[in-house]
Amino acid sequence: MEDSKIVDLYWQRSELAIPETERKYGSYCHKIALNICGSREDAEECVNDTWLRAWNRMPDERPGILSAFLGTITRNFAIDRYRLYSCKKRGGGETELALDELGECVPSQLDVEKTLEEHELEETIRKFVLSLNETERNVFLSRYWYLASIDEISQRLHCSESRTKSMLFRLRKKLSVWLEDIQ
Amino acid sequence: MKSEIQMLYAMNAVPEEIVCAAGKFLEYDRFRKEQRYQSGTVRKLLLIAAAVSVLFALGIAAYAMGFFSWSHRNQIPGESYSIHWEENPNGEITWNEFAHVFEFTGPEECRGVQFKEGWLPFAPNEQVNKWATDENGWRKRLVSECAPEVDSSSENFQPYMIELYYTPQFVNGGALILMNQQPEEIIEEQWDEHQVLKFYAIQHYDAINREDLDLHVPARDYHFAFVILFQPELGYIAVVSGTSDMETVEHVARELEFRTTDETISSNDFIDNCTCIDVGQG
Repeated sequence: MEDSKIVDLYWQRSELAIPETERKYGSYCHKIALNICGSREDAEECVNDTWLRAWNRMPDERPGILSAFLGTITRNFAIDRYRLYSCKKRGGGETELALDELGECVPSQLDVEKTLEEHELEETIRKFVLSLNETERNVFLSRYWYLASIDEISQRLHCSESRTKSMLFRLRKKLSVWLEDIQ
Repeated sequence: MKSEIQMLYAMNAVPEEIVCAAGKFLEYDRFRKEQRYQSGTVRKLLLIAAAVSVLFALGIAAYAMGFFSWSHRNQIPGESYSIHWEENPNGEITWNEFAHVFEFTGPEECRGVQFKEGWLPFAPNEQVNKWATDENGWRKRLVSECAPEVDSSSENFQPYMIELYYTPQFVNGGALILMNQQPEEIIEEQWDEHQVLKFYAIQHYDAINREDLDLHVPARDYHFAFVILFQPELGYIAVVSGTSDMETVEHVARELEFRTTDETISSNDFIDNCTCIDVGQG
């Protein structure tokens, strides 16, 4: 079923909306949640929460790209869940690694919480991503939006893990400069 | 750590089109198709719709539809795998030397699968394959011991064999192992929903000189053609191999039709988390 028709189902408050969404985007959202939580059970709950949130937001919202709309909801639930100790304890391994990597980007003299308004940080990251070429964007977002593993990204790039790590390292350096610039 | 978490949230501001493009790059945008669909020129029936319906009906969440992935490599020096082997005093056997390793990640469960051949170079001996074939011709394994016109000592002693393996067996640190056949160049292809590896592999046999039996066989190398199909959404691995040439083995592989069954395959179903590809074993 086309995305627009699925969105119509939500607007019509049709009971078919959620099954149709789950059928088309269940795997996609589950993969995002699993990458972040590292636990199938947590991922499952994030996905179920996603359907409920989507049901509550449509209407009034009409997503431009349904997959990204749902993926963002799932991702936020998954990050929330990751932050809970219980989830971390079960091993959101890839998330911890990615967070450690992101930590390298934060300039030592910068405390993001105190010196940056949320919208400033969002705008900086948005502009930074837009400044990248297509491959760089895909790799950066694969790692830090989808929390995909280095191995997985390397397979998609058809290159070695060391090359992927090297590319991510350069991207983090660039991001670090952007973050310094906005102080 | 809070700063990094905040950065994760801040990435929500990245435009949807770019997020979507990255999802496609990762192939996360792929989703299961419920209708019949074609692989090359061959229609392959996958009873996905039925499986999905069953999953929903049972309240089982989407984890079963999670994505599996694989990688392959040569043996790392010193690496070994052990499996249960009751005949040995310690109850196991250890493989210290093998040619190639296929490793997998993903969920610990997947659906069972059967296949039906669409083309074979010649008909198999159905008696030999009866145990792995249901009344409608759907199979779990298919082997041809030798071509009709040749004897069992021919180089083409096992023209084709089709076997199924399931990723959940290997996801907990295990591996699917190619024991004795050393792969030559490995070609990677994508056939619709299948990720495919194609390669020839050589198995060396030492010379046999048994005076008591008056048996003298020179050393020889047998070439096996392999086409390995991996379905990353369903988690099965179909190994099509044989002493036929690659063209023949690939033809067999391309014409295979797959369907899921009601069976759930779990990591717990397997005693060992590794096994070797059964080639040339009869």
